[in-house]
Amino acid sequence: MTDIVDEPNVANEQPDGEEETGKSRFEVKKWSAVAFWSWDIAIENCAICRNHIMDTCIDCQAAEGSARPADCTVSWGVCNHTFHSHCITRWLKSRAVCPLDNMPWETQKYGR
Amino acid sequence: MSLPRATDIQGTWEYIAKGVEIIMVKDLAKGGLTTEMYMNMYTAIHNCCVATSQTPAPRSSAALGSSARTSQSQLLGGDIYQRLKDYLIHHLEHLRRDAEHLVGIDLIQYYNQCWLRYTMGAKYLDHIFSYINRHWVKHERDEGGRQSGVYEVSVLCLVLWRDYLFTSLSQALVEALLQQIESSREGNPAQVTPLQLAISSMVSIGLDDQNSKRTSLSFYTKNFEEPFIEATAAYYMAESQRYLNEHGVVEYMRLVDQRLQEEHQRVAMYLHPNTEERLISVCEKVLIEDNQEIIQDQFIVLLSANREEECNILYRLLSKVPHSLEPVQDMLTTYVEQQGLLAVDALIAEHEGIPEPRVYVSTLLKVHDHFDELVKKSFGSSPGMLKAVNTGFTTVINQNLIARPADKNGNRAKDSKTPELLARFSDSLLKKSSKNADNVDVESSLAGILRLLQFVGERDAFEKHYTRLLSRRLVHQTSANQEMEISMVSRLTEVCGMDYTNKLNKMFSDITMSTEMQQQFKQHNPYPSVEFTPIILADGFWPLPHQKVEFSLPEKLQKTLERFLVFYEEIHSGRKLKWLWNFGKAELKVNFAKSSRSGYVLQVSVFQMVVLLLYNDTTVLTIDEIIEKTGLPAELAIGALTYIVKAHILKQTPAAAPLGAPGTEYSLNKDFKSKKMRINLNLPLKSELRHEATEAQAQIQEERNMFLQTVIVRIMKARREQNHASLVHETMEMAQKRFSPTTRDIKKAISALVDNEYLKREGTDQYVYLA
Repeated sequence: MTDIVDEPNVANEQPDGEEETGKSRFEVKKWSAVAFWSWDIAIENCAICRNHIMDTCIDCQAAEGSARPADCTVSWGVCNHTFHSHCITRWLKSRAVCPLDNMPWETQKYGR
Repeated sequence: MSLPRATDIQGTWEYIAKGVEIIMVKDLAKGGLTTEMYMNMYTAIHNCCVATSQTPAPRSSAALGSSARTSQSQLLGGDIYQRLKDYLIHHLEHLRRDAEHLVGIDLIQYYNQCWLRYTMGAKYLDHIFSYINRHWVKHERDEGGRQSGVYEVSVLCLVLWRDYLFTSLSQALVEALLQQIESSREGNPAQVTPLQLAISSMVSIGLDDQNSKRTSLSFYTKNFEEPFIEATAAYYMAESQRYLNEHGVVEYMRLVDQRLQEEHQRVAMYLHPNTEERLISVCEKVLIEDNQEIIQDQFIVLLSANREEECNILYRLLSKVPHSLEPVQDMLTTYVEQQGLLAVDALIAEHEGIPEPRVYVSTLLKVHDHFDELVKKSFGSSPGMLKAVNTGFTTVINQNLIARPADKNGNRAKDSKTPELLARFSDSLLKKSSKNADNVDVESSLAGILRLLQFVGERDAFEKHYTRLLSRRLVHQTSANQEMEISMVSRLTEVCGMDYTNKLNKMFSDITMSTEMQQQFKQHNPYPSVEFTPIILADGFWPLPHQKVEFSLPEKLQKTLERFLVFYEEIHSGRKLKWLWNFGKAELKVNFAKSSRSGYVLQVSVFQMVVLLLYNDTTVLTIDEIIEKTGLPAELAIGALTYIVKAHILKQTPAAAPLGAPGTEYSLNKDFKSKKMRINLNLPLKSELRHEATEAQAQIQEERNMFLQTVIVRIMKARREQNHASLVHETMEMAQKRFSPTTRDIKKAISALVDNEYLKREGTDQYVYLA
């Protein structure tokens, strides 16, 4: 708890004199906020490895010691399907189509 | 004296007999057989054997029928052999007659004396008669085998000793030996050598019927060991009863301890090593096993009196008898439970309520240390005793009155609070705080927590609370020491496993990445009007509750935020952000207070900041105006006001009204003053704290349900079919490491799985897995 002196100074009841010159009464020195980031997608799990899309892909999960590998991100196809980049890359080596709709795969963007 | 004629057997014997007499009877110290005589005897025997074998019709002796039948074999010597045997029998009978009137130690001494003399003589005879040994005896034994009754001379001597002397003396002799042993047990120093000699003679004459060159212990066992064991049992049976009555159990245990040592030494001194096992086992049976209940009953008395040495004796004695430690282990478990629970009760009494976690933990550790030490000192670190202590201690940790407090009706809480208390204590240790100045103290306290954690039944609850508190330390940057955090996590790996600590490590790496990102933002935006340090975390790994809050940021701050969003979009793509405004905070400088020139600094939440910034333009606002202008939900606005009003930065009118009641007004207190320059208003509300804890508990329950369902599916997938009882049992076992589920929890999980068509009920109590 804070230590606060309890009595307001009743004797010196003054009319509101604007003694503060220019400065705001409360001045923000610094502030911070917390946010969660997530991939801008509706799905929860990667359809290839079944891991949560926010988690690493299953290979990175098996290999990892502690740190999240920075390159384990997410790829969007033009079909708007999303997978772990590692997962879809591996899949595309066998067939160059989206595993969900069987249309030729073209990457729309990579998550960073 | 010339050699006798080779064919004259009688003459030859008479010739040899003189030497034999010297060998067997004369005091060899006063000059025994001369080398010449020895040679002559040998030659005479040799000549005789050779000569008789040359005569076409050798004399046959009725007694040696076999030799007559094998006359053609040209191996003779039976006559001489027979005469030697007659002589020895005669000699032994003579010795025996002299022993008849002897008893006690005299008899033993006499027997030993004869035995030494006789065996020495036998050795010489064997040499002198070696020609007969080699030819006639060997032939006879080859032909007739064991039944022939013919032995090599050395063996013959022993056989005759056994049959003509020992057999008739044995009863008196064994009696005398047992008497001596009993007297030594009574405390009279025994003469070791006579006993040793007499007893070992029984081993020597225990000839093996199969192979005369070997001795068999059965003769010794039958003639001596058995009566000896019987006498021992009888003696100790009497002694144990008498001693217990006269001296009590503790002294009795000391006696037994000493007795067992003595008996071990006795074997080493004068018994055959083979007797040891039987002797010790009969002693243990009579002294310990037959009185085990009396000894076991003493255990708690000794334990509560802290008599470590006696506890040790008791443990050592009982550990010799299979299963006799089991009741003691049960008693120990109960005792540890009682002591531990009492210690906690005393702690509650002393603090008149629940003490802080630090004291609670140190009390538990003290109990554990005490018994750990006891196991080491008194029970030789025995695994069984350690297990007993641990079982008791587990109950203490999970069931004591602090862990499961009773409500007004005396009902105990369902879930143990210990995991949460341990997590909270570790939090207070790892937090920046003036109390934890000393790293060494923190280290050792953390080690203590880890030690207790091994006994916590609901480890998942600890994990949950630890993650929750760690997430707050990281987000609020209140962690005292990064190194300490990391080392704690790596030690938690041992107790909670990699899966768990991996999650924690992800949180650490999120924070690291977020800090790097803040640096980049700073470089990108080197001269901000207000410094803004956002913390961006990966969704799904942090147990931070997200509340969607709509409110309006002051314009200046809104701009900073937008600048950041642009920056973030540049370095990352495909991401969306979700702000947890309830974790936002700020530092405000107070420029209006007359009491301080330099200005106070307020540490506030983002919501408090928004409220306070309204007062830059005005001095009085009603509660409705505050809510309207900030756009905050009423509940959050009132929450923000709580500590602002408490700190007298704003004054409420009417002062007596409840905070945030309709119509209340809040005006700036220009006379604000404080002893402290930095004032923290960003304190959690009590209702929030309570809410958080219950939330965590609810999550734990939810996760347990999921865990049980997973376990059940796993079992059923492997088994395909299973009846109810064994499914419940197996599930319970598999869950044991994380928490102890009740049968009700498991039933609920099964029902849920049936509803979701993972399982199907069949018959009255069978489940079938549906793939």
